[in-house]
Amino acid sequence: MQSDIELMLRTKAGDDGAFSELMKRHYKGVVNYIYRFTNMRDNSEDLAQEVFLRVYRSAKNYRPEAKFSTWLYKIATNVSLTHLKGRPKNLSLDEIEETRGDIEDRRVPITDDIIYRKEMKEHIFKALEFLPEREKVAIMLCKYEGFSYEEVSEVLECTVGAVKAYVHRGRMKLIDILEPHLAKGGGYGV
Amino acid sequence: MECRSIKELIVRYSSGDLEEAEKVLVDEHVRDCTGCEQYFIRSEKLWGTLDAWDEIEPEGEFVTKFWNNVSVQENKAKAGFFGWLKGFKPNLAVSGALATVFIVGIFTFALLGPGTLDGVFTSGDEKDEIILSELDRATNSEASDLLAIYGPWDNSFDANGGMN
Repeated sequence: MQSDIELMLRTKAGDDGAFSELMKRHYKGVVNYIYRFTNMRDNSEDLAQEVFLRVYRSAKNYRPEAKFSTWLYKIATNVSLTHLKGRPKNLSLDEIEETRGDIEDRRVPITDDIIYRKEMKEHIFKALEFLPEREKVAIMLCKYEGFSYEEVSEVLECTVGAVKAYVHRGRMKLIDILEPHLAKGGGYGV
Repeated sequence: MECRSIKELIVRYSSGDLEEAEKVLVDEHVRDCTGCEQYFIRSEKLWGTLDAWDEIEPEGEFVTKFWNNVSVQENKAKAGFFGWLKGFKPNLAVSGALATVFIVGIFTFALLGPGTLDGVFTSGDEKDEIILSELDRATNSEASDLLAIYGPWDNSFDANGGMN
């Protein structure tokens, strides 16, 4: 199997099939990263399309200096942040539900587990929103994308030590914000 | 060690970033401190709790949709100026503003443009005119005197204004 960098170099040489292969590998991760970053299900695929479009357009200037995924998630972070900054602040509850795409499928029976997860999702999003940008990005990449501290340092363009500090500070804040939910247990803790 | 410092170590413990010696320190403190013990439990639960936010399953047509977007954008770029011209719809407000700017521009040009000050003749200009005509006359007579050696010249004019 070819590496991401090899596929990107083939894309640079004009091979669109290689770029399709790259997208197949990464689009699910990027869509979910943006979804968790913005908490807007409907927009996350469109924003992921924009991310890949930017990568495709800049393929001509691509130089394999860093890992492809760190470059990809750096662009995904920028697109998500730009989207969040440009979003209207005063939306009604219906509009929020609509943009999040969280209206339930009535054919699926609503269990306690679904209700718990939906509530927790809101609590987690609000808690992450409370964190400074860099702490949020560091936590999300480490937790949800499985990035190492080194990889996060490439995305955030800082030292590994700084990434560790972001993650630890972020975790401490999340423990305080999510305290009532962590005390309950809920069956998802370690 | 203070509970505040221990809490920082607890978070690093849960992140897997603690040395063995520091781990022992945390274990000993947590055994005797109920508050820090609770904090330790919450810290260990945090990462697992974040898993409650499920992943979503994106559309399977993501890649096809991407290439459709690319071809739409490329077609737009190809259309260029002529495409823009084709799709141009005059806007009443913009047209009105442009017309106003155009009319004001014409009036300003008519009032202040080149040639509008030619008609102004000052006393200084009149003196200059006199000096120039005197100089012209002197030059002509000097030239006639000098050319006389090649003469004789008949400088008289007939009654009709023609030269004889």
